[in-house]
Amino acid sequence: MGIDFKVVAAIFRKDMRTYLGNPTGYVFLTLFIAATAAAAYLTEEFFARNLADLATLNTWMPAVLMFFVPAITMNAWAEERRAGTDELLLTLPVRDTEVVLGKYLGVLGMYTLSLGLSTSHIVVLAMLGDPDPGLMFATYAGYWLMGALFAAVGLVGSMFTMNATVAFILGGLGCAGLVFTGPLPWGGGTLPWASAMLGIAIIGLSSALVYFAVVGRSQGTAFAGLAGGAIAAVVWLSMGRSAELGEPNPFEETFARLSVWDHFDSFGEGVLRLGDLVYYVGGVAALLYLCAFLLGRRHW
Amino acid sequence: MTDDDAKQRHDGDGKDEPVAEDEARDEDATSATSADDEADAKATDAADDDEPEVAEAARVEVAASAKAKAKADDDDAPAKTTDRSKRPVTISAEGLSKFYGQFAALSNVTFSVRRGTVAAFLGPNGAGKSTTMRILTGFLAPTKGKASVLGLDPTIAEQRRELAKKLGYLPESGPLYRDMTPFESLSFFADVRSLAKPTKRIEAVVDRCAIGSVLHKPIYKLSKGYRQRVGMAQALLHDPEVLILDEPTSGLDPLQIREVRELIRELGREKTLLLSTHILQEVEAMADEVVLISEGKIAFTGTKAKLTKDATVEQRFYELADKHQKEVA
Ligand SMILES: Nc1ncnc2c1ncn2[C@@H]1O[C@H](COP(=O)(O)OP(=O)(O)OP(=O)(O)O)[C@@H](O)[C@H]1O
Ligand SMILES: [Mg+2]
Repeated sequence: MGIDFKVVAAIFRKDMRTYLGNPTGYVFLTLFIAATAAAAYLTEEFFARNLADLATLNTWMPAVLMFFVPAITMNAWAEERRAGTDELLLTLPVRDTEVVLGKYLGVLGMYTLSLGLSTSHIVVLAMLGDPDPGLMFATYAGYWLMGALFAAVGLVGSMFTMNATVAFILGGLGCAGLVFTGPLPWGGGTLPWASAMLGIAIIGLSSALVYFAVVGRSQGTAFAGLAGGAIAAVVWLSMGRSAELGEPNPFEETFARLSVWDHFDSFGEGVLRLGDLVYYVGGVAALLYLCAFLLGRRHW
Repeated sequence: MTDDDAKQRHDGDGKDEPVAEDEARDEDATSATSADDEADAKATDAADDDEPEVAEAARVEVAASAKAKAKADDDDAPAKTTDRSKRPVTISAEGLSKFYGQFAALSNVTFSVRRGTVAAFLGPNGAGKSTTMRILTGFLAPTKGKASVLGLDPTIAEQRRELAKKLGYLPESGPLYRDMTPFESLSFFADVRSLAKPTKRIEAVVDRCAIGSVLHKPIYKLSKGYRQRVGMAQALLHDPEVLILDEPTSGLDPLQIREVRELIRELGREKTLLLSTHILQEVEAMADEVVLISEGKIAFTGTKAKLTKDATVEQRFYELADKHQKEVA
């Protein structure tokens, strides 16, 4: 099964034009620059440290992106469905994968543009001091990858509903799952239950997918998902006993590894690790596959 | 006059018309410049659309289409063989059923449309017309049964894609990208379809559907009728062999309705059309065949002549509705 990149490009261009042909697109860009600037400089820490780097922004970026990226993605598919244009688009000579890729590149394009404009922060740093170019590059590569992952999460949220607000909330929850599983840099330590929730959601969704792939029928897919989630919850709770003895819960530990923090820290230190790349690229691929699957749901 | 046209087509003299004719007529139409009474009427109508320069544009367009029509009338060569039943089947539905949960939107719907036929799909609200069309275009899959258009199965992804290249579809209430202008939309569709001569095709359908005056106005600012025309332009963009049109004349003014009817009759010479409608005169005016559907079940399929042998389409329609009401009671 091939992919016609002309189709992907046409959908990408259409969506970019919609984002930028709209005042909200520019409000969005401005807010993004303002929010990241606030996170980077408007903290006492930035001045106290007296270093020309983005360490303070690094601790806030996941939280900023957790809101901003779902705001870009919320309309990606939900709006097509609300307006009924999905019926036009999906009766054109296109493949579902081409639609998903075009849509994903559209939101990724908008995010990349926002992030690109926020490199103005580096210019500010260069005026204040002498930032390390390698470190800046690595940090921005980390931001980009994190946003790319969140964009895929948000797109999945947008596939579930024709209501943009619901899509935003679903996307935000998904991103929050990845953010809150890790050791939070804002104090409060870790939230083990957040890792568990993420694990239950992932296992539930995977069981639904596997069930559908094996059985080839839609009937019972939702049930398979719920059952998978329930089993995961039971596993988690049964393992939870040991936590009271001060031992980490293996279920929580496993899914805590999916935290974005774990896979972002080294970028913030100027190091690019293969494992982190695999995490982001693999995550995006898995989520886009899920999107294509959800798009096929109209045939159920 | 519309009735005459239809009859003429019915008793058609069997001469085959080359496909190229269509294009030639298009070009002829664009070069026309004189205005006439019709153009004036149309221009006044268009002027209501809150844009002064529209009037002038519409004048030229209507003149153009009037001339095209005159030419079409001269053409005494409806391309059909008298015996439509010998032509190959283009659209076929075999035992289609569609369930939404427990609710059967369609049950065991079977009909077929042969090449070069205009088939009207007629039935009360909620009868299942749109659902059937969505299945035929591959947007929805049937719960049971088999659909086939041009020999391709719309439930199989790659076949549906092949089919989409030869199929024009106007979904119900003409959904469109509201933030785009008609020109941007058509360019997008031309892009996705990788048309060989996009500019030429866009010009042709813009002319055909008389949307030249609103070409660069965002679609959300257009009146309902103009949106419907843009939807129609989209469906015709790639000069498809088969057209599935869900209420193509809804929201149009009387002049435009006449234009669309003429367009449909003209397209029906070469192409296969399935169109749904609530307007009974429309069936009289345009259709060769009629598919009557009610509450998800086929009530009649056959030629218009057969349907109207001992009653008008209208009487038939009410008969059907009454019958169903009795069944419910
Ligand atoms: N997504 C859906 N979920 C549940 N029921 C649906 C859905 N879509 C359509 N239906 C039902 O299926 C039936 C057929 O609908 P359809 O839109 O095909 O009718 P129609 O003949 O096109 O009617 P109209 O003339 O009003 O356009 C209706 O009763 C409708 O309520
Ligand atoms: Mg309908």
